[in-house]
Amino acid sequence: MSNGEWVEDEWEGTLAEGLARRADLDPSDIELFKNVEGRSDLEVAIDELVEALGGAVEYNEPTARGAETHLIVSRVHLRLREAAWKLVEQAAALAVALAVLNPGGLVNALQLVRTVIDAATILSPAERDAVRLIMENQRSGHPTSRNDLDPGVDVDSLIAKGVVIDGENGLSVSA
Amino acid sequence: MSQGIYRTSSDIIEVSDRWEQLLEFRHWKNGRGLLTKPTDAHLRAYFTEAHEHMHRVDVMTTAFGLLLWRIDVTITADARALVRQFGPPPAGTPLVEHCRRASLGAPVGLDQVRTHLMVHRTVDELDRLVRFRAHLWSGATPGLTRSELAAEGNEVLDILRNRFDLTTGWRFTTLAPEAPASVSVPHRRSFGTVDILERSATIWERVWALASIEERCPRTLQWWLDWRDARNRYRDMGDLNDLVNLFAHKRLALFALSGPCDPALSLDDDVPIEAALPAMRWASSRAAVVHPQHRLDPLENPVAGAPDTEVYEMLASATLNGQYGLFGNAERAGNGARATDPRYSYLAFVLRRFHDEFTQRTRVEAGGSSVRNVPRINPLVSLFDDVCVVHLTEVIGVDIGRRESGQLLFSLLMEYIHQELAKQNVSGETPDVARLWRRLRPMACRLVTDFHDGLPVRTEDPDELLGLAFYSYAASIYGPGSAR
Repeated sequence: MSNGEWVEDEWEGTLAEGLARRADLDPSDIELFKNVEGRSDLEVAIDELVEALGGAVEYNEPTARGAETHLIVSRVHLRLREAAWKLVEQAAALAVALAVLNPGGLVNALQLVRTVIDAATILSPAERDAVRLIMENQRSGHPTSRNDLDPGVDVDSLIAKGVVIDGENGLSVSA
Repeated sequence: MSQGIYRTSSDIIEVSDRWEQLLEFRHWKNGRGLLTKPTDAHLRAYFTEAHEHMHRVDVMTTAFGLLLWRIDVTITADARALVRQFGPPPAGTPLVEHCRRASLGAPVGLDQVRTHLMVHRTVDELDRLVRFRAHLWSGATPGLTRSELAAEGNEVLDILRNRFDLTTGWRFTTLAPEAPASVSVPHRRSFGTVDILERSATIWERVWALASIEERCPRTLQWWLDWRDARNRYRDMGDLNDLVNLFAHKRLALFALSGPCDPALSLDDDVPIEAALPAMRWASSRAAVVHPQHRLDPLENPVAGAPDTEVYEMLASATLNGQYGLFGNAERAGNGARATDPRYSYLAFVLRRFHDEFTQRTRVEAGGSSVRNVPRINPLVSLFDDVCVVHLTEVIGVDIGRRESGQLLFSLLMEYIHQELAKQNVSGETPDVARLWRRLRPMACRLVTDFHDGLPVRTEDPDELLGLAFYSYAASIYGPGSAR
């Protein structure tokens, strides 16, 4: 999973809708999904899948027209290894298709995503927290050393997975 | 898709749903009416109105809101002046760039030398105002240091002191000159005042709008979480069903907007931007709020010596606009009494209401109770798809009769149009006049029907009234100090 460049994309709307669209799921299914009760549970699960694969989901309030405060969906920004994109897209598309298949479909969709998470996890929860901290420090210009991280986190393992780089200015996420 | 819009520094909220549905819902909520089960459309209208209303309260009753309003009013005035001088910018070209490309030619006579100097100065000041506003609104540009942000803030303080005839002299400083000016928040790509306002309004939906109906209509909770995608969007806020947690975040938002940042404040010392500007205040106090054992502790400014607890008290007794400030032209022309009367002039009305709000907030805080963060006051106008609702219920210490209401509402209509067109000119967008016209037409209809005695023109034609308001953007007939 460490192979491949980091690839970023962003869109206005939710995570599941955007990924399903990237995977060319039938637009009518995506429209139907917007009315599925409990769909936010699937959003949370897909977010978890992205993080389990070493990627990150971030949100922006839309500010294209700077002086307005709109009540529309926010802009989602997704960053993943190139090799993981297809997996996440296909999992999201399949989950959305399952969710709209019948009235109880969302349960099956959630089960599917959780199965994929279990099978594809490359980072433990502690490692995910460590990566998140390094990214936050990076954005605000603060260095991160090994000592800043939870002692239980194996930094060398994160480096070997290609998620983290140990450089002159401390640890950084290899984007 | 259902949406609402609140444009900062205004008194109009827009809700793209039907007022009739909101009324039906309110009757249902109060146990009356014929509605037995609210539909999605009822819920959308209810939540959207509550959300936009909260934006209006956060922006028009806080110390930061006053600073933002000053910047918006000044940008609008400058943009109007420059559009009159240089014409509107072509699509895709921001107004400042458009003006800098244009040539004024060689001046003829000393008077024209002076005019040219003033025009160049206006272009430079507009550039500074727009840039600093963007840093505040969307989060500072990556790479910008805190000392650079403080310097840009000081330029804006000087401009605003000049425009509002204020004599204070304190400056912005910083505790960490080389540190990045941007604020980093988990799961957020950027973080600015817009994020604080959005989460404040979303929390309000959850702790008031939703909490007051979820027992009677249990499906609303899941519906709301799905509609808002709130759990992903606001992951950093933690459990959205823990109302104590959410109230703590609501207090944090109000705290962030209450820093010593407005140039009317008479401060003895300079102010670090870490203690003054919303995003930095929010980030520095977030840790205290998210800690379960400290959620209810009073929020204190992490920067010693900064007088944030006294901000509202100082603003309540401060001169918010000097004699030769916002209405200076009218004062010089001998028309000051009318221009500064909050019954007729929307800008004077806003200044009066800010003062009133600061006074009331001071009283509440002095009483030791929790800081008021309830949207007690309505915007002057709520625009729904089917109706323009006018609220004249503000407590500002003066009686506003129907005749004066017409003047005030027309003044609001003009300012709203001017601000919107100015913002679009400044950003280089082509103004969507047709959309704005369609949105505001119900308000014009209401004015010519119910408030015609107070209008500056005798007309029963809403299009004529609207045309006059739009035309005044680039014409001088309704410039500062005349219709205002």
